[in-house]
Amino acid sequence: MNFKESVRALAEQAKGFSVLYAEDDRLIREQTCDILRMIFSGVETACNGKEGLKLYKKRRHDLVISDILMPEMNGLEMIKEIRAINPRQCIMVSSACEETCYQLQLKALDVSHFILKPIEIEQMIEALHALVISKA
Amino acid sequence: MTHDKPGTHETKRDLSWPMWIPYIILLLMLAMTYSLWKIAEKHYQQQEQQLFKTKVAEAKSRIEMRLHNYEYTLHAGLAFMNASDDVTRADWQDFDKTLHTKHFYPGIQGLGYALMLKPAELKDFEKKMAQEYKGFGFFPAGERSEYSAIVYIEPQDARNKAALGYDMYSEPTRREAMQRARDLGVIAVSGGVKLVQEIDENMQQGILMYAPHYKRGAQTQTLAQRRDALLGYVYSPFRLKDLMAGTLEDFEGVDFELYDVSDAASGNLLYRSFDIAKEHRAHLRASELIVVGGREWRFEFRCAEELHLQHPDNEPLLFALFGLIISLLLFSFLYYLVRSRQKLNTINAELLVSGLWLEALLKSSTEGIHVLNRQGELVAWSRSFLQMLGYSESEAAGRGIMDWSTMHEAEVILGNAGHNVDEQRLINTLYRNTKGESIDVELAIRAIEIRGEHYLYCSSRETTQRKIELNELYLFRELINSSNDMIFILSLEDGEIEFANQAAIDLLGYSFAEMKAMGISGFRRPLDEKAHEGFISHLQELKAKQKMTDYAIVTCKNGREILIEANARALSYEGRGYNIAIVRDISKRKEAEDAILKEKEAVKRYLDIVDVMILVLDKDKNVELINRRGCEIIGYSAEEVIGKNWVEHFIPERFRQQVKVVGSRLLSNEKESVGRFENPVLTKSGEERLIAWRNTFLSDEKGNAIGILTSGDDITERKKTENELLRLSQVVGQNPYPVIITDEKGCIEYVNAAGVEQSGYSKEELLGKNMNIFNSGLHTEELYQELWRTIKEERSVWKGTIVDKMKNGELRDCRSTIFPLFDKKGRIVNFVSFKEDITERKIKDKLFVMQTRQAQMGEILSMIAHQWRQPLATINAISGKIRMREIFQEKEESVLVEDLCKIEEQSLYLSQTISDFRDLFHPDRPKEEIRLRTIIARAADLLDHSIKAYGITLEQDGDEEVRVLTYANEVLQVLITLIRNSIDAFVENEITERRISLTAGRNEAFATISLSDNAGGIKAEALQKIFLPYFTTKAPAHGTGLGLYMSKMLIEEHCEGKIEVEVDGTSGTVFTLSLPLPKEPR
Repeated sequence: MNFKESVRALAEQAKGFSVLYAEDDRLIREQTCDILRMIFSGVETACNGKEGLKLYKKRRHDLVISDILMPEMNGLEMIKEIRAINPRQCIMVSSACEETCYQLQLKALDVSHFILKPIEIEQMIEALHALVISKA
Repeated sequence: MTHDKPGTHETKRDLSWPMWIPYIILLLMLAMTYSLWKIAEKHYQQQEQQLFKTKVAEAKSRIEMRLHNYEYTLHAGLAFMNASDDVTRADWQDFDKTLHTKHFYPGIQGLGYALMLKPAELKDFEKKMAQEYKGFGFFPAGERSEYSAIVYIEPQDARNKAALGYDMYSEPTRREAMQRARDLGVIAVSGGVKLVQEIDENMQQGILMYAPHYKRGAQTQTLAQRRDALLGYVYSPFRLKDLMAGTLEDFEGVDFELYDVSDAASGNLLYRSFDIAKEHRAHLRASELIVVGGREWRFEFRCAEELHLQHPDNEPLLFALFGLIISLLLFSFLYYLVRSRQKLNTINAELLVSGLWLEALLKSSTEGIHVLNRQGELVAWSRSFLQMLGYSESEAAGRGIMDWSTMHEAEVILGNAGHNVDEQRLINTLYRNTKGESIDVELAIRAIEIRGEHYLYCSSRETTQRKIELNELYLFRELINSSNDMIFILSLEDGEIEFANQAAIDLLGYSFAEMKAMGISGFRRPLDEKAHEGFISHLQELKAKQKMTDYAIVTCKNGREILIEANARALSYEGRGYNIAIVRDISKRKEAEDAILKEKEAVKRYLDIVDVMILVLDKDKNVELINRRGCEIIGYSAEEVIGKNWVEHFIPERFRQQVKVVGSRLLSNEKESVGRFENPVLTKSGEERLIAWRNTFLSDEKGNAIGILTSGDDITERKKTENELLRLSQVVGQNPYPVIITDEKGCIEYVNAAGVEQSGYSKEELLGKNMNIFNSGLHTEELYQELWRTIKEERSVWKGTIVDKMKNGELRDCRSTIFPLFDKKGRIVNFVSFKEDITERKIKDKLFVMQTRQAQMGEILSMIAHQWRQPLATINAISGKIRMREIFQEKEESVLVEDLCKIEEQSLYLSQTISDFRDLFHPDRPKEEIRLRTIIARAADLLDHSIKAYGITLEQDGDEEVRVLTYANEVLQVLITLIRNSIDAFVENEITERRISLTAGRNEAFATISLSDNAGGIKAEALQKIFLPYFTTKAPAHGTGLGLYMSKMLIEEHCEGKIEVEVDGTSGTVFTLSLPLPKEPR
């Protein structure tokens, strides 16, 4: 299955999915948001953990995608809160940090999917695909 | 009796010799003379013979030589004739002149040419010659089968002119020679002839020499051919006398006769060199044969008279005559000697008889007869003379007048010798006998003369004993009067002065009469004024004691009082008692004693002013004397100290035993060991002072020790200073940091142990060297100038870090402090350098700095990574977005998508690279377990660009699974350093095919990474040093010399591993890093 096919397949399956995307860097946020909107119908963005959490509490998105290092509330704290609300929430982390300590914390928060920034689009599609399937 | 006793022992020896001795000697001498004569004669004869032989040989060789020369002349003539077809008379004349025949060939009469003529030609010839030459005539006339004619002869003197035109064929002797010359084709000589040239009285024998002249070019091999070809002869006539005289001119010593042997007919004798009339009988002769021009000549040589005269025969005869005379002289001398000896014997016998007479006479004489020679030696004596002087018979011999007389008397006595022989003189004199006693003698002296020798005949008689006694008395009086002591003789009963000597009179000033009038008490008073019992009682005491000494004062006439000591003695003589008193002035002695006392005081004062403590102890160590300084030191007064035991009172208790031992040893004379000693003393205030003692013992006149004399120096302060100095020197000496002291020029005068250890030089190597021995050459000249300016001109302390070179060539960072030392006048005398080796510390500092910097870099890189990631992430997101849009819009532009993929790829790579570098400089990363291959791959990644840029093939190889537990980043850094070094080496050694291989492996204890390259290797001498700090093979701008040193530190100190290097063949180097394996899980 080539990249094109997997994108199409994902778009097919992910129709109606709502996504929360938290990222502090505006440019990345906008661009990534554009990509996500091509796949998912309802994509909301937050520029920090606090904002993200607020949006999540309102809408309980199907999928949460978050950065780790963010002002006000970082990604990990936000995920902690979300887990408190919904332990089975599908979460993906995208970060530039690859330090082991984060990896361990993410494991503890039962975050199974992690993609390194800068994002490799193929990798992201693959990860999203896996998440969507697990959700379904 | 005479001293010289002829005939007693000499007569026993027979002085005579037998009469035959002279004759035998004469015979022997004559025989010897004869043989000498004969030997000399033979010797002369041999010499003469030898000389004669030499002369003969010379004469013969001269003649032969000369004749040869003539032959050459003839040959020359032939050659001349042959050279021309037409030789005229003038030509011939020129030829002769050119030869200088008369000059070079004396004896030759001339050089001519004779033409051969047939009878038919004669007439024409005569006619032709008559025209050419005036007065030419052919002779002798007559009919003959062959003719010859002399046509040319030179020189043309009267003799030769006579020969012109002569037909030599007409005379048989000449013809024979000419025919022989023609037939044999050689030069021929004729027998003796009378030459045609003999025109005057002085006739001589002559000979002729012919050379045949053949036709030019004619065959002359056979006899017939030669006869046929003959034209004429070149010839020379010789007058023999002239020839021989010329040849043997100035030749002397031999005479000879010359015979022509081949021609017996012509009378043989050709020449005789001597006058037959004066012929002498020659005793040496010799015969020699020579062949001349086909003729045999015999020379009969004989020695000439001259030769004989050179060696007269009478010389040996003279020898003989001389020998004969000597023999006769010796004979007559011996003859008379023997005769006189015989005579002497007879006289001896007569003497013996008269000697016996004399002996008997002297024995029986009562007079003291003694005969003296002029020197006063005793020659003869009578027995009574010896008795008078007390000599025994055997002692008498060799005695002389000086044995019994005085010099003066002897002169008087001996003065009589040589006077009138008949006069007798009487002299009174003193003789001394063997006991030394003088004997008055009356001498009757008579001078006698025997055979020209003068003697004294003395007859002595002893005179009376009285004379001696008178003398004695006189001497005693003189003695008494000349005594320096006063001598009195007093009556023992009443004390009246019987006698006073001259000294008494002189000293007291009174005359004897005055003294007698005053009585002894008039000028004498006893010392003790109270004991005035009078002089009489004093005399009585003497009478009882017989002998006593007392002291008194006497008053002189001039009022002076003298202290006297009187030694008196009682004496009784002829019934009367006397008091003999010897009185001495002892005032002077008293003064001397006072002077000694004063001196003692002075000495005490000296002792008081010296600056050392002086102490005299007796045998029991009680103080006998102490000087002022001593009192000062111990704080007691002299009175408090004297008499007290020194050891018990003034020595601290803990030293007492020791001091006692020293004292005893000193007193028992073992002073060498204890002459110097140090111990403290106890002062009055209870404090202790350290004193250095010099001890000596005092002894009495017998050498027994009676006490100790000691001088002590208070060295308490000095000792303190000394100790301090010692301590300070130890501080410097044992200082763990090097200390070097130099003179003002920088030459090393002192170096402490640490300095020696650090530099690697021995102390001996360093002393005297200049400090620039440590010069590493790494510093600029300015630094040294600055240093010197600081310490020398500013005279202050210089501080700084200098890299010094050690003996083994290692360079060390030394933190140096250098400052000058001054003398009292403020001049710089020394410089002191403290040098602390801070190489390790400095390197650690550098490491620390480096690590800090790395940490900073890590942080910066972290920040850069973060900052860059965001744009990179954005780029990727944008690119991804476009690609997604392409997918969803269904109008894929594959070219665009492909390009976008590339953009993403590059930004991902960029991101990854930043991460890698950030990780490398990430500080304080814990040890981690990691695959070696991972580390190798990372290194390759990090240097990927350089490796590619330099065209190097980097191979990664080895065990994939080997893991290490280590600080990965540090290993990585080391690998990077090593790879960089390889790269530098590739460039420097201009290697074109560059290869580095990194291989992972393991052994039992370690995991290993080996890096090998082909960059040219490392030189052996550098190999051992490459891990040393500051060692680099690169140019100064490229290398610090720290890279490998730090690598070693990182691997060995930090990672607990090992780093080793070896050379791989000639072309490469292999570094091996050994790192600890991870602990095996149990």
